[in-house]
This record gives sequence, structure tokens and C-alpha cells, in this order.
Amino acid sequence: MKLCTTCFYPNTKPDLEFDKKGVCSACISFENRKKTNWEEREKEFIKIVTNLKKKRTGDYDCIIPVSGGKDSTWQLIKALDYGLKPICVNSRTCDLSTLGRKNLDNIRTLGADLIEVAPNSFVRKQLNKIGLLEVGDISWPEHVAIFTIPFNIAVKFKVNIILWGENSQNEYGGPIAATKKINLDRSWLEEFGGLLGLRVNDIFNHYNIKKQDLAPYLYPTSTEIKKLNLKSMFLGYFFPWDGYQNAMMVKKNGFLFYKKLVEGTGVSYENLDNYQTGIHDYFKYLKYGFGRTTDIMNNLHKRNYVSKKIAEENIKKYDGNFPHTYLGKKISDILKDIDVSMNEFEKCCDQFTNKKLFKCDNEGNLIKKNLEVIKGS
Amino acid sequence: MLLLINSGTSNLGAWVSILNKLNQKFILSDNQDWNVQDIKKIIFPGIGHYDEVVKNISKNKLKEKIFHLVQNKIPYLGVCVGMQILFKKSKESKNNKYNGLNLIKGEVLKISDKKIILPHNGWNDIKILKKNTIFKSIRSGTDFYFNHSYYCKCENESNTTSVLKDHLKIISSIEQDFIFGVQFHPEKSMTSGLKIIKNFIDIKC
Amino acid sequence: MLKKRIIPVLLISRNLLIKTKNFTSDRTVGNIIQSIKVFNRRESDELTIIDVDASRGIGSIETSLMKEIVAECNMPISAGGGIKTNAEIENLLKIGFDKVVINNAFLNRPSFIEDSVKKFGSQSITIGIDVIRKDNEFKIMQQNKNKYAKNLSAWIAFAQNKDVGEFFFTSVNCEGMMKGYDYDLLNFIHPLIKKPILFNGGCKSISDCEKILSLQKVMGACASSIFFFTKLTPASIKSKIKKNISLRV
Repeated sequence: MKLCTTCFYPNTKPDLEFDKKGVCSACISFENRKKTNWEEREKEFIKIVTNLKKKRTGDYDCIIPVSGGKDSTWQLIKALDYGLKPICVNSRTCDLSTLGRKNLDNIRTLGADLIEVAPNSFVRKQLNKIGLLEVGDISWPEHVAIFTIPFNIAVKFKVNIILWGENSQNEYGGPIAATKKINLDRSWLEEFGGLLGLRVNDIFNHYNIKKQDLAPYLYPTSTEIKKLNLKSMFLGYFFPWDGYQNAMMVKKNGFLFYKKLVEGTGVSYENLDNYQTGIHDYFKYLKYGFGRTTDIMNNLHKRNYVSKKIAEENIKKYDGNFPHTYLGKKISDILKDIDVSMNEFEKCCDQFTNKKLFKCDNEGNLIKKNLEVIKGS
Repeated sequence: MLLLINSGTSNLGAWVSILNKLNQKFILSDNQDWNVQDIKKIIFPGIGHYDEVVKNISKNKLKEKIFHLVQNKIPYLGVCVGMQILFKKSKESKNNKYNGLNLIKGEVLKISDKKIILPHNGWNDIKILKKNTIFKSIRSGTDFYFNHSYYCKCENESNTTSVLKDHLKIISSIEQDFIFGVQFHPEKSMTSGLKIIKNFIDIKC
Repeated sequence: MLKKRIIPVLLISRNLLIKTKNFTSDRTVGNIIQSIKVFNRRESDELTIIDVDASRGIGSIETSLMKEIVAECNMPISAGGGIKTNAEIENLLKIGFDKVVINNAFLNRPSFIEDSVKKFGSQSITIGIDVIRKDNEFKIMQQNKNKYAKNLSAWIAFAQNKDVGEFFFTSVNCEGMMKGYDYDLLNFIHPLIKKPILFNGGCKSISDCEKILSLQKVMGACASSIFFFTKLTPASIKSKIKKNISLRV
């Protein structure tokens, strides 16, 4: 496993590209921001907003998909600041935390209508189990739902703009062409939506779940999208994205942080809504050798909020920690909810561990094998 | 105990996985610790040249042990070449040097159907002529995975339990008492293949 | 009737699933085991696994990973990647692979074809040929060689004569591009071959698969990118073309 020369991302990260000097596409995207004319971009956004308001036929200018987290709360505040009348759409997360519930309710206090789409939890739990055991991702149904549900609502409510947050390919690194993309459409979902090769039609074709029970996870037809002339945009294209600044801003607007550092992250403001996130992040670590702390510390270090030394220390301390608890909820309880035993879970961890990256010591503890930094040419 | 034959050239790993998945305990033939009296079933996996397979099982008296077990009505499932060695000779054999188990009367011939490009490799559907134990809940027209250039021809027609639906001369499975042979690879034939294996394992001794 | 096949091709590097374009620009797609499980669940006809590092001359096929892969597969599966000896073939078959795909070792040592077919039977030996279009001609790409020494037609005739089981062609120009198969290449080789053809490189749509499977000797439509980056699955392809092509459904 080799690291980027300027950040902590490894070459095992899916979709990450490196240039000749060993710099990754996340760093390159970030550098390119300095060359971006953000004033022009803002003007572009204002133009779009004016147009939207002029052409509005229904009750809302746009849809903002929200989790109630720091980023989607920031997106809402931004949209309201620019005079938009959005409808917020929440796709119920897999195992909503108490804190997550509070932050979701906070959305309404900011002055926006909120639709919560909460799919059948019996089916959802089956999908969590399938995601975990089949593709090593307990959050598989969440990835599908958070991208699909807003599109379905757009079609039903006839709202033809969806405003997303950051382009994850830009923020976290992806193929260079994808980092510059402005639109999130079906092909983006299929390529970058975290589906891990598993498709919704696999579920009703090959598992004991009927297609009719998967309605919330089915993307609208291309006819429906075309008829509505539905467009989808990343706010991150118009404004320089900064997760930490988002957190600080929303804190002043009723958003609650966790009372401690969130397990496996090194901060107290990230991923507060879903108890299952710890398991999701742990599997990322087993597969690719890096976890959520790396993502967060990279973003903080790039923007000089933390030194490289502190970032490295935090990564060492928190990255890839076994998720005994997440937001205080025990892993055995989280797994019991979806009918997975600890034994099954441990076997699953073994199966998805990249054995080139890790080995076990005599006591069964996971040890990372040696790293090298890519030498510049 | 189920005896899993290691013929030296077979896809043993695939069988080990499947038996583990089905929670079926087994012992490998080249393991030192088994006695003939402990064996309740035999699986002989496929892949390999007839001569090579016969040569390998002739070591350590394995061939005699198998013969003895089958004579004592221990259920036997032979896959591909594991079915072909039930016969005395094969046209694949060079110089006729190696003789098979000679438990079923007939011979092993090279496929000479002009409509079949050799090797016969891929999914093909079978016509079940005799619904027997291992075909429980399997229908005619089911596809199985084949990969071979030789086929068995039984002297006794009643031994033939299925043939290729579109090439009726090519036998796809045989039976005699507790001996079962399949030309296709059930371990590679997904759900239908697993059914065949389970049906064999479920045979009461 | 013998069914035609839709065959996902999985490329491995450093124990990760990758995708390439024109055989370079490696892109990490994800964890290999999750992909295998998905394709197994989909009851795929067959899978082809290529260890790209080994095929580029870096080490040899990672056998412990291959064992994990076979343990998840209940369908036919082929392995390729720098295979040079009978001992390697024997080991892979023992692990549970049904066939091996050999490319450069055959080009470097043509006698290896007869050697391996004799020992393992033609049904276990698939010849891999990577073809690149240069100066308006089809040339065979050979690892670590800048010259395109072998003539494609002559090589096909030679391999056929030595009784290989199947031919696995990849078009270097089309690979990973999702712009369609290399129909010119296919039309060139089809009349020359008497054995089953598995064709790989560039598949972009359902009609691509249908088109090539309509040719008599093409037994396998191979694809990679469409299964990782688009909504297509082997089942969704088959459901649309089963009327005209004999497939296992």
C-alpha cells in the first residue's frame, strides 16, 4: 500500500488517481480550487436561482436531500440565504440515532418544509444484512436510498431541481473527469454511488424480497426524468466546500455535536445520525486500509486546521478502530437488530479483509503491513 | 464418513468448498487416517486424463478399496472422468495400458457428433430418462455445466438415466444400484448442481 | 442445446479489483470478494479472473486469494495471469478452477501449448490473445516486447492445430472504453477459427452482446466495465436477448 505524497490517502482507495509526482486526485482537486473563480461561480448560482424562481410552477424551487447532518443543514441554510424555497427530503437512515433525530428536527426550525421518507424497516434490515454479508457494506441500502428517494420525490412533487452537497469525487478524490462533474444523474449513481456492483434488480431477482417491497430503492424511469426535465446539481461546484466550516456554522443554528469524539473519526461533528456507520467505516478499513479518520484528517490538514503531525497522530489513534460501540450503542445490539450474530460478523470481517494489507497476530489482533510513500520522480 | 477421492488432477478445491458449505464431513483419500469400514459414501470428482487418473488411484491400493466399497453397495458419485473410470476402458487411453474399475459394462468413446465442437464446454440441457434419487426435484430441460470430449456408452440401456436433450446419443448420467455417474459438473452447476449433490448426500445407507 | 455465455471478466491487482483502459490507467474498483459474491448470487454463467500484476510479469498468481475466490463460486471459473508452467496449471485446477487462460507463455514457448493440452486435456486450456490495431493491421501484443513478432492468422492456425480448448480474444484498442466491441477484429478472426471464441473488450450495451453472440463460433460475450460502472447485469442483458440467442436463463 502506498500513500499519496501530500496526504494520507492510499493507492488502494477505489477510483483514486495519482499523477506522475504521486499526488492524488483529491489533492489535485483541492489545489485547483485556488485557480477557480469562485466569484464567477457564485454569480452562476445566483443566475440559476433567479431563473428557478421565475420558472417555478409548483410550491417549491428545489429539493434539498437532507440527513440532518452538518453538510445538509449547511446546504439548506445556503439555499435559504439565496432566497430559494426548498423542500427538504430525508431518506430515513438505517438505524437513526437519538442525536440524529434531534438534528433532523432542527431542519424544520430553520424555515423549511421537510418530507421524511422512511422505508419499511423490516425490508431495510434485510437489506442491511444482505449488504453486510454479500458485499461487506451494511450501508448498501442507504447508499441506494439517499440517491434514489430524492429523485422519486422530485417526480411525484414535480420539482425539477435537486441541490446536492459536495461532489464526493471532487472532495474525496476520483477519476479526474468525474471530479469536474456538475451533475448527479443515474450514471453517476451507478458509477460512484457506492453500490459495490450490487444492483437493486439483483435483490428482487436473487433474494427473497419482492420488487414491490423495493419501491423506495428504484430509480425513476428515464421517461419520467425527461418529462420533468429534472436537473441535479452539486452546491460544491458553486461554493468552495469545507466540512469543518459547515460544522461551525450549523452549530450556531441549532445543530448539536456529539458530547465526545465519535468513535473511529477523531471529531465530534461527523456522521451523527446512523448507529451502523461505525460498522460501515470499519469495513472500508478492512478492504482498503484506511478509514473515516483518514478522510476527515485529510480535509482538515489540507485547509490547515490541523498540522500534518496532529493529523497523522489522530489517524494512528482512531482510524480503523474496531467499532465496539458507535455513538455509544453497542455493536452486539446494532447487529442483533438486523439478525446478525457476532460470530457471523467476525467471519464476514475476515472474508472482506484485504490480506495483502493486514495480518493477524497470535491473539487475533489485526496488524497493518508496512506502508511506503510513493517517491516523487 | 464421506470419502472424497483425490485423483491428483481434479478440481478438489471446489469440492472441499461445497462440502464445507453443506456442512458435510468428509475425508480425503490421501489422508492416512481412514479405514474402509468407516466409509459410508464416495465422491470421485472430475477433470483429468483417464490414464493419469487410473494411474494415480492405483497407488496405495486406492483402486482396490474403491472397488471393494462399491461392491458392498456403498453409494458412489462419479463426476466426469470420475464416472468414466467406472468403465473398463476409454478411447482417451493411450495404448490401452490403464484399466478402469470395470464396474459398469460399456465403453468410453470420443464424441463424434458433427454438431458438437470439441471440447463440449458450457451449459447444456439434459433429458431425464429415469427419474432417480439424485434427480429429485430436477426437471428435464435443466442446464448443467459440461466440459469434456469423451462420453460413456452403456451396454445396458437401463443404466442410462439422462442424455443431452439435443444429442440423444451423448449420455449425461448413469446409474447402477448405488453407483451414480454424471458427465456434467454439479459442483459448477449452481443451484441445480447443488441439488444433485444434496440428493446424493441425503441417500440413506 | 449448448448455451452461449455472458462472462464477467475480473481483473485483480494487489488483491483489489481494478479496471483498465487499453490495458493501462489502472483504476481501483473495489474489493474482489464482494464482486465475486455478487456474480455468484447472480448465477452468472462463468467468470474469468485475471491477475494483472502476474500477467505484467510482477510475481505470480496470488493462490491464497484464488482459494477464497473459488470458495465463493458455484459456477465455472477460469484463471489467467502469467501462467508459465504445468505445475502452476495443476495447482490452479486443484484449487478449483475449471480452465486456465494462457497468453504470453504460449507466445514465448509455443511448445507449451501441446505440453499443457497433453497433460490436462484441451478442455482445461484456453489461449488468450491480446490484439492491437497498428498501422491498419491487427498485431498480437506480447508482454515486454515492443515488436509484434507473431502473425495473427498464423498464430491462430498453430494454436488450433495443437488443440487448445477455446480462444479468449481481447481488443486492446477497445478494452475499458465502453464504446462497443471491436467488430473489425471479430469479423477478421471468425472465419479462421474452428474452436469456441470468447470475445472481450469494449462492450457497451445489450445489443453489443447480442450482435457478437449471433455469430456461430462466438460462445462467450465477455465484459467488465459495464458491470462495474453501469446498471447492466448479466441477467438484465440475458432477459433482453434470450429471444434470439440460446442462453441459460
